[in-house]
Amino acid sequence: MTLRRVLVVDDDDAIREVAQMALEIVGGWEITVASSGVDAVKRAETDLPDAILLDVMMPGMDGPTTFARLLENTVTAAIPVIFLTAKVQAGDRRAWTHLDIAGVIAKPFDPMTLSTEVSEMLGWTR
Amino acid sequence: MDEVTDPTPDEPAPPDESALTQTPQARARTAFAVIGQRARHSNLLRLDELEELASHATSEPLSEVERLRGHRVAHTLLGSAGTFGFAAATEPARRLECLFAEEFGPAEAVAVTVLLERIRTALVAGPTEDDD
Repeated sequence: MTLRRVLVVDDDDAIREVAQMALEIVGGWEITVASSGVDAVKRAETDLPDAILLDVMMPGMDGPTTFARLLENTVTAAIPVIFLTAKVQAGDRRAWTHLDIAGVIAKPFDPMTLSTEVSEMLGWTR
Repeated sequence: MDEVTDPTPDEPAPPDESALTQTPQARARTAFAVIGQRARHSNLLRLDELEELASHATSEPLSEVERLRGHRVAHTLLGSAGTFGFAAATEPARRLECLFAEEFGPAEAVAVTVLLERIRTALVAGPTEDDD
């Protein structure tokens, strides 16, 4: 099994922690975390994760703005990003269609299947 | 008088044999339950915050700053409650978020009170098992 490294970004401590546990214990991956968009941009540049799970609605720099910052940086531009969000109304999804994101995972999510969802979206074999 | 000492000041706790023999799924469920308890407490505090905001709107609409704060808190509540198994809280939390998405006045404050009570009941009752 390939050891994947994933950065989880969410301002809610409990969501960040449960996603980290889910991907570490169930997925067997190495996880780093960030609690804000600013922190995420820094961590992505230094850690170079294989993928980023990014909350959309965060105080300060929100998910789409964070994604834009990652794209602007040649070091992080190619890292696949999955939005993790409770904003899954049709209007929200339409607003993201022009963004080159790897996918959207809706909150609430099932921690037990989170790593499978991520793997499938990114075409990773387990 | 005998000197009272800490019997095991720096001694590491013995390994939890049951944890070592658990499957990853079982270990994950145990960890999620612990995090879920903390999330429940956080979400009850979020309900208090929303209740206070709603009380500001009984005579006139919330300011834009207050409404946006309510929207953000309701959004976080929605994502958290469902993820930690408080299924009965999900739908009222979704409606709550919608109410804070636009102008929030006395009518919305009344509607929110009912939704907050439903969510509180679901959180106090505890997480529900998946059907599947």
